[in-house]
Amino acid sequence: MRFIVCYKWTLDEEDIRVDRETRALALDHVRQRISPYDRNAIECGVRLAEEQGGEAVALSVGGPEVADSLKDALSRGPAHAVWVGCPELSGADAAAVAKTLAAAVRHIGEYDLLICGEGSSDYYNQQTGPRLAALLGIPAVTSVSGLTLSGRVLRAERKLEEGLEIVETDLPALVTVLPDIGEARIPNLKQILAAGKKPVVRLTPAELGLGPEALEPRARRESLLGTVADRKRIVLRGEGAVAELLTKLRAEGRC
Amino acid sequence: MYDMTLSQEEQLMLQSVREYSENVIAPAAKEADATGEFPWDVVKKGIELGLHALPIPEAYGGAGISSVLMSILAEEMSKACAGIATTLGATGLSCYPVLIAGNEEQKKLYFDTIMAGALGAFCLTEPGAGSDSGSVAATAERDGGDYVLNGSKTFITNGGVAGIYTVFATVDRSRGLKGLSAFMVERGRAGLSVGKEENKMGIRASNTTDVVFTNVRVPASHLLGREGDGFKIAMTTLDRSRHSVGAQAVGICQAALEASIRYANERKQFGKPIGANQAIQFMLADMATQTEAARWLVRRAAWLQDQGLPYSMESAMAKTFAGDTAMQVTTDAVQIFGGYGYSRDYPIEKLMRDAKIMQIFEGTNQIQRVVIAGRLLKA
Amino acid sequence: MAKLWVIAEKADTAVELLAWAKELGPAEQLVCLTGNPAAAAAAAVQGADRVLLFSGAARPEAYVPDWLALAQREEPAAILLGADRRAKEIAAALAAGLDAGLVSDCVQLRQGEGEGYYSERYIYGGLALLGETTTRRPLLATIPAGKVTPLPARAAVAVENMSGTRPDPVRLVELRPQPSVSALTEARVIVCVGRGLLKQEDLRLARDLAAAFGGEIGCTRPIAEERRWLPEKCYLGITGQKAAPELYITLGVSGQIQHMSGVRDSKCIVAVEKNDAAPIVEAADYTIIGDLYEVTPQLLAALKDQGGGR
Repeated sequence: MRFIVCYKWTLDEEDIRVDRETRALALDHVRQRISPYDRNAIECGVRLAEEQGGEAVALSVGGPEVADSLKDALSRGPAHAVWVGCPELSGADAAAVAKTLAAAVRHIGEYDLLICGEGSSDYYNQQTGPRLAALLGIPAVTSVSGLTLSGRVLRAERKLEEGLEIVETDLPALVTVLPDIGEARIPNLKQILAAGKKPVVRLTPAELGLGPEALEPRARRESLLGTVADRKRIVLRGEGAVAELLTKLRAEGRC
Repeated sequence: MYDMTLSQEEQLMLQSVREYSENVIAPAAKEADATGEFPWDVVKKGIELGLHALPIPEAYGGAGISSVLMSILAEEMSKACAGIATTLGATGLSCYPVLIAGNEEQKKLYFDTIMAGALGAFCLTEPGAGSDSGSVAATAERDGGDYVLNGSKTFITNGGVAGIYTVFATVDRSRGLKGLSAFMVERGRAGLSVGKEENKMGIRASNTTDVVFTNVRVPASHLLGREGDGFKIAMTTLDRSRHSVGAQAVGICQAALEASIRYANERKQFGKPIGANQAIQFMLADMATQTEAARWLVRRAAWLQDQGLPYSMESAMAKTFAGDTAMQVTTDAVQIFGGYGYSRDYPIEKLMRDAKIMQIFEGTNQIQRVVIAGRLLKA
Repeated sequence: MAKLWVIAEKADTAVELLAWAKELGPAEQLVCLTGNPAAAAAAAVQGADRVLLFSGAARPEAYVPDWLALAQREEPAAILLGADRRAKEIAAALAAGLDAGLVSDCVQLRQGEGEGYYSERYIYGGLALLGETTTRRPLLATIPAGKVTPLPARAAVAVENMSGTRPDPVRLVELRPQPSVSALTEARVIVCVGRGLLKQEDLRLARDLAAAFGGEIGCTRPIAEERRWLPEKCYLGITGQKAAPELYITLGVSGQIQHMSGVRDSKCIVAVEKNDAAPIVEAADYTIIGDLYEVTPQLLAALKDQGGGR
């Protein structure tokens, strides 16, 4: 079987600083990493490949910066990686990313299950997976917290607001997974060493038949402002702190 | 000239070790220190990552990493807990005699055992032979195709938890240093027993015991190099692993420094953070400067080693300076934390206790100075 | 003038989305599409000009092909959905089919210049607010609950029944109702615990404090997902529950942005935190610097002395 896992190379928001005055974001010196939920997705694909036989393939779409992610992704167990890149794909929207992924999946050809993380840590749109399934015309099962395969039938547990939904569908299909699907491994030294020797296929959207119009964003960015909590920021300490707090809360009618 | 830029693979290895150190080692450190119980779960995870086998070359199933990277990784682990870093590092130490003097079959046997997940232990020190390796009393007597080992080793890191040992014993006491020989001994050999466990001041997560050999029989094929090569093998081993001890000391310094900086910003007295006082500022500046100096002495010694250049004086300097610096920096950290630094409820005093061993083990800092001076005066 | 659609499975979601749609400016028609008769009935009296009730499927996801075909014919200018997981999947499938933009977890939506709609949403774990204007129609958006007042009731419009058989490639085996939405969204006071809590049994402290204020207990993600001391429905944050209580009290919460984003609309935030350099100090109205194990009992005692919290 072939399990294709899609991952995103995202900015680590822990490194982003907000200027309190201008609300501008300082994005330089921000490290990039594989989006955390996508690490669980990769782990899921790799475990399924071990269990069912076959291979896991890592697939990513993005700008030139994605080159830095490949060994990281491969050290987590996939047999090889496919990267569709061009500068226009840096920060592309979900519509463009899903179209590019769909073209890449068609290019890869045979597959049984596509696995995506539930959402990326940067935009958390939660739409790339189900968009991709729709474009490929295969069933999508989102918010999956557990899954099993028996033959060509996928049984999945979806964690929804109203409860746990158990569903079945036939392969090929797409799932988006929650972290519950399984803890992502810490790659060991030998896996990292081996990653450098695994094959990587590099494609451009043009090679997949996607023209510039396919990547055109559906919206124009107007503003990006750091959030600054508008709070009183009163610090209380020492013996009288508790009494002082309660006095203030009562005065405000909070308790 | 000194290009120590990490390759992408090396950066990923550091990323893995950082994740392991922060998410697996650090949360377990306090309890392992308090109870002195061996944190098998944490160590097993380190073994899975290959961190006990850092010196093993790729050809024998290891990752074959450079000494510079080894020192960076050791620093990272030690920053989270020097005791756990010692457990993993001591296995690497036990590999060096095999790496230095072993033939193909011996390397295969020893490294296969380690790569399969065993810890290793380096057995040199005896009650009567600490810094003076020439007075090793353990004996290895040739008996047909075997050697029969007798004697008692002490202060052996991983003594009670190792699956395989490198052991130093003399084939002829009258020959002094020239009789010392090195052997590989598997844990399961009849007559090998684990003696008393030390209740240590620091690095309490690590296991330190006596290892007793009573008519332990090993095939002659377990002799590393030739009879009498032992002293050379032991000294070369300590030379080669010394930068890792220095790196562990730097890791302790870094942990103490970071905690002190945080505290200096957080702790307020007389209405302002204590870091606003020049007395604290100067302490922090000195701690940071000394830590940085120690780090680069260590890395340069490792770099020389990677380049195939002479390094034993430099690694002795690095170990000595880093060990002394760790003691100084952690003592200062306790001072900055004041009463909280002295309290076992806070993580600072552990650093000070852990630091002390860095001046003692793998050649005391006094012996290192002898090595350094010897080198200086020979020239 | 354009048609505006709302798609909702729950009655309260339907009426809220209709109120959002109304705000988007004059529309030719507000249409509600649903697979739930209760939602259809509510929409019929609270804002919809046309209500289409679909049936014949076990899961609303199965209506997507019908809705897509209808959208291609009717060309609504905007399609609004709730921000629950099911709705997000439906929205994404429709957006892909229509080759349209989709604003997930939209917090602000209005008519922009020309044909465009202006939207706002949080990104980078809540660290930044992104404002965008769509460059083509339709616009799709998923909108979290609780931000608008539903439109007043009026005479009901007729509900059109769209019966039929809808094959679903995803077969429903079982739905185990287990509402993961806790009482947190409704609570007036929430006491939230974070990593500063050392042992599971110490949750008692937080429970006692919540009880004293007549509130509920919540937690940060690590407490639910890593330590598993509380069920997941208790965890607040950008990927967990969102709440906007009158009073939000944290015990040993450092105040990471991913957590604070989920409670940013709280009226008043009070923190008990040992580390006065923790981000929570900047994100709270009042912070008591101190050990939660000392401060919480003091708070409890003071509340008791003064005859309870409320």
